[in-house]
Amino acid sequence: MVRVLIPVTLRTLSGGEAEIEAVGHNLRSVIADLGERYPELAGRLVQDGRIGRGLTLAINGDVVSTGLITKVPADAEIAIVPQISGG
Amino acid sequence: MQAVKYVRAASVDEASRLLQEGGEGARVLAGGTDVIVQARERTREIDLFVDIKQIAETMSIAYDAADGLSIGAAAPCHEIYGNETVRELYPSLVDSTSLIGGTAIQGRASLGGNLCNSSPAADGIPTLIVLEATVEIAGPNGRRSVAVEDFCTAPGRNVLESGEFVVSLKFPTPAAGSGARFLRFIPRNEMDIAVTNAATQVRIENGSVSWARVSIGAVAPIPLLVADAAAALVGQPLSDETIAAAAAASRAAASPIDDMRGSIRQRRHLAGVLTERTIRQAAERAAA
Amino acid sequence: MVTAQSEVASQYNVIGTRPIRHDGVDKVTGAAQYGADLQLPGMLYGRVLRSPHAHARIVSIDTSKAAALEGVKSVITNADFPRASDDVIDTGEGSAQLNWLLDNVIASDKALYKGHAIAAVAAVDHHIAEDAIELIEVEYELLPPVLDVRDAMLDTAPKLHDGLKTGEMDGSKSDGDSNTASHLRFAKGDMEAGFADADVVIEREFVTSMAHQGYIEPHNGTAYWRADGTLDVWTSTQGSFVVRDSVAPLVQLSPSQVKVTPMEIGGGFGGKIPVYLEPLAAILSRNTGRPVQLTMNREEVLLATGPTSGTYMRVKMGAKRDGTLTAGEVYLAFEAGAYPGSPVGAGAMCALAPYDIPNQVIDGYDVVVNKPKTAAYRAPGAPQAEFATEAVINELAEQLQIDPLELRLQNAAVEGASRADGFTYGVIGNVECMQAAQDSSHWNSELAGPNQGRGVAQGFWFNIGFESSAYAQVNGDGTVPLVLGSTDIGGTRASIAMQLAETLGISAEEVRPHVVDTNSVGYTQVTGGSRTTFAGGWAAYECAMDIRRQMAERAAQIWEVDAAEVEYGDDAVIRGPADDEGNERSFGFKELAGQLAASGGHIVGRADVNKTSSGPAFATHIVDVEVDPDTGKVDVLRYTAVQDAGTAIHPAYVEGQMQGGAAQGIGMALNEEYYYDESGDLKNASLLDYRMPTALDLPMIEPIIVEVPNPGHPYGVRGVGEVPIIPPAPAIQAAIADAVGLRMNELPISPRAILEATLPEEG
Repeated sequence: MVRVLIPVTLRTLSGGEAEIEAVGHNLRSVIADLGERYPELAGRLVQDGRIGRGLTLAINGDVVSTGLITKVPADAEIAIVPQISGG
Repeated sequence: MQAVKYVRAASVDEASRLLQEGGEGARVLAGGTDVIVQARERTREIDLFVDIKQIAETMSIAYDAADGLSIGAAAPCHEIYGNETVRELYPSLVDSTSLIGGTAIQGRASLGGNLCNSSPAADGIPTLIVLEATVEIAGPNGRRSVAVEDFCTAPGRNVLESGEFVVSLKFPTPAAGSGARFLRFIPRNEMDIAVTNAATQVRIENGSVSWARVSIGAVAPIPLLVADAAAALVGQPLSDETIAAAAAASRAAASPIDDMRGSIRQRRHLAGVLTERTIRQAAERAAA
Repeated sequence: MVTAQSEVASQYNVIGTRPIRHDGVDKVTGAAQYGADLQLPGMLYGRVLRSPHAHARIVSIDTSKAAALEGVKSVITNADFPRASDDVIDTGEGSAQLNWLLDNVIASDKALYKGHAIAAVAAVDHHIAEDAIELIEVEYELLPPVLDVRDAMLDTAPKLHDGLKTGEMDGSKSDGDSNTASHLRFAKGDMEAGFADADVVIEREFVTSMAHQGYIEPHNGTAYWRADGTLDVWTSTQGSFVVRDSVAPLVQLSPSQVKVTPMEIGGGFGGKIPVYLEPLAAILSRNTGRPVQLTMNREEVLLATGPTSGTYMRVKMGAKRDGTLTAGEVYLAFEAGAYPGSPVGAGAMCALAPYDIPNQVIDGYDVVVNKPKTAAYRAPGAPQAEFATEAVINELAEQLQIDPLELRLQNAAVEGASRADGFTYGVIGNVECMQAAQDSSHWNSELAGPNQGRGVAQGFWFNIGFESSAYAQVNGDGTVPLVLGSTDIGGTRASIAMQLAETLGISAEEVRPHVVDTNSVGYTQVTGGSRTTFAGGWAAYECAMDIRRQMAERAAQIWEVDAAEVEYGDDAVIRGPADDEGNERSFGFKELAGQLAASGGHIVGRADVNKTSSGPAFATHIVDVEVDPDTGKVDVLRYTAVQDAGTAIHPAYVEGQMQGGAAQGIGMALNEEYYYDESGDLKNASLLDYRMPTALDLPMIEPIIVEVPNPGHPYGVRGVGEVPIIPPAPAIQAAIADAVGLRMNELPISPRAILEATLPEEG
């Protein structure tokens, strides 16, 4: 069971839930799974076949750089953060 | 950069003639540390540089006990503060010339150029004023002298007429018991433009201030000679009260503007602070 | 300065030493080729006409007189570019919306800041180009400018962009047009309970000015549109692949048709990631069939290239009497400049990051104003946000009568702590930096005189990773040329070469790094985000491991044994099984290198990596100042910068980053600001009046490198370039408060600001 942490500003799309459980072997399937219950949230997380604009996902604290095919270990924790930048 | 012609004058008369013929677009080139930048940035329309550095009179630094000090208008700052006599007898000139621009600029920049650029914030002029410098001018009608406090007329403007240029600056022999100091305030440590600057010369005889001159800059359209500040000091020993009165006179004489380099309140306040500090330090030099 | 080898470095041969940088000789002899040094046959020179107005509709542009001037070969406006879409491209450090990117490069219907590019010319020399600019006639309809972030956020404010609405993270948008482009919020815990729990609550407002990256080399761009329809670009950039991927869509070429050659770069700090001149040079070259070079002068750099955001911020923090922080509430409104995209998101992530505070809410607003479009500047967003939060923490320490480092230690985030944005920390050096600061001679020394004070502050930056490539081959003499895509702004040729050398067991001098164009190396993300030594080093490590494998295989072939029996030792000796007579068989690296050509051919190693385990960086800075109460001048007397580098690959270059970042932070603290008049005219667009500290303004900054190796990197590297710009401003603010009892909540804390705060009204 994978835990997806929903930040405050996305809880309008998760029915107010701060944490959602889902199943899947990679990000695409995890999001598809939670999309069954929260279609608007899935629609924000995946846009045009890629991770949604302005968002970054992290699996167990590691920022994802390989897109929706990134494997998700069992019992992983997925965080959603705004896209980050540096100088 | 504009296409600017360059000509090197061999004599004072030739320089004067070239400047007059060149009209508004002709500028004297000494170190060029102001005018070259102005030409490149097109803040002045310049089409002719008349280089005066080949004219010996504009480059020499000479002193004798009778006539005093003569500094060629184009002599670079580093030669001025490197000159033994200047260091010993006119240390306030060292104060100014070692602050104009920065070390690299001082390899070319001149006191004459600093004066003729006539910025209200010029770091050379308050010192020239308190040292009672006279400006030796050559032109189509021959030579004339102007007291330095009468030279600037408005920001960037001065008394020079068409064809005229500054040949040298003359300073009287320092009086016994005299000392002079120039200070400026800038937000950094060096290589900056004065928010406010000031110079003072005092002569102390028998424990009393027998003579004084105070000048403040960057707080009015031209550098000022503050007669009231001197009057507050003269005829009595230097004290915290007379120094405070002189500072108040400087604050009253200042008419600063508000701009990106300083506010009115800040500049007026600094005019007082720098007056106090230059008086004290000039007195220390007088005593030494 | 630490010259003895650290404990971490003692396990390595090359890492932790200080070889002379590979690019050093070229740089000190003037041989290094910077962007403006490039001379190509037939090259034309370009110049840009810039808006004199901060906000205006462009009614018409007449370029005919300019085009007719002898020597002028092309004049262009936005109309000469293909229509740009609102697609978003990845610029490595964020993203850019193409139509806004083009609009910033050259204005379409509106001039949105003074200095906004309106038209460009190419001529046979730059004097004629300058004259041509003056002949272009533009009709403007002036509009009221919006110059303050708070004013911009009002419903009544003039709007910069029709149709721009406030976007929330969930994708929803406001109903009406707004200058606030987006809002984000991070939260955890219960704010009401958190503040109720507090014995002391402090709430303060802060204002900071825009500040420019201040690189000494202005922007440049040269382009040549070839007869076969491909485009060559040369530019001083932090990211040649980002330039390629930005320019290509703007001129409607595919990225494979564009080759970008990075020239040597004289400073970037994030500001040389966006494109400004390159697209203009490309179109001018397309029109003329000749190479075209554009450069900026300093005034243009300050008017029209991205500074970092000016801000308005509020911070409210609560603490128990014993120093436990119970709640933190942060409000950040950041100026994005003329187009959306300020670093408010990063600022929000960093604001309370050094501390484990159970109840937090952080709101961030990205707001457009009639000022130049902001660009990344060394830990973008964090110096501002952490100025505000560190200032309140220092004030809390004073009120609670608790030592400011003790207060920080008490509340420090450690491994396992999580931030409001959802990230959980792994192995970090937060506490270690605070402790090193406490142990420093600076912290344990006495202040010497009146009007002197001491301040301390913590800094956090997350550091990024992502893609890097490295290719290397083994020469017959055992030297190894290394091909990199990372432009070198801070000594990364050396630090990456050193990691390759360490892995192969050879010396740093035997590796020869070269930075090459976008056709010659695999995709490499920008040099920025403190990622280059980390990710470039990782690519070098894997490239070296690839070489090791191949060298071992070759030795096996030469000895006619199974490859599984041959081992490449860390001492650069390749060892195999004993021969028939029982003799040990081995090759030294150089020895085997000499036999490669004859034994099957050359060996090339390669690696392309995409890593995100970069490991955050923490820093603690201590500063002593002296304030002259009569003039408001603040002198920095002593400065110590403590920072966790993970593993310092080249300690001198790590120290250089610490000192450089500190110097820039001190500049933001004391004198750097954008001075606008009411019409939106930037008055101080020169380095005389945009006051950066020089070497004459600062004492030697003492660097103390702490090493808590990053488990997410083969050599424990953490990025070091950005975090040191964060602590200076709050440390100086606290030092001034300590010196003269004055707490200044606006940056810069200039002499003018101090006098305005202290002089009586009549003064």
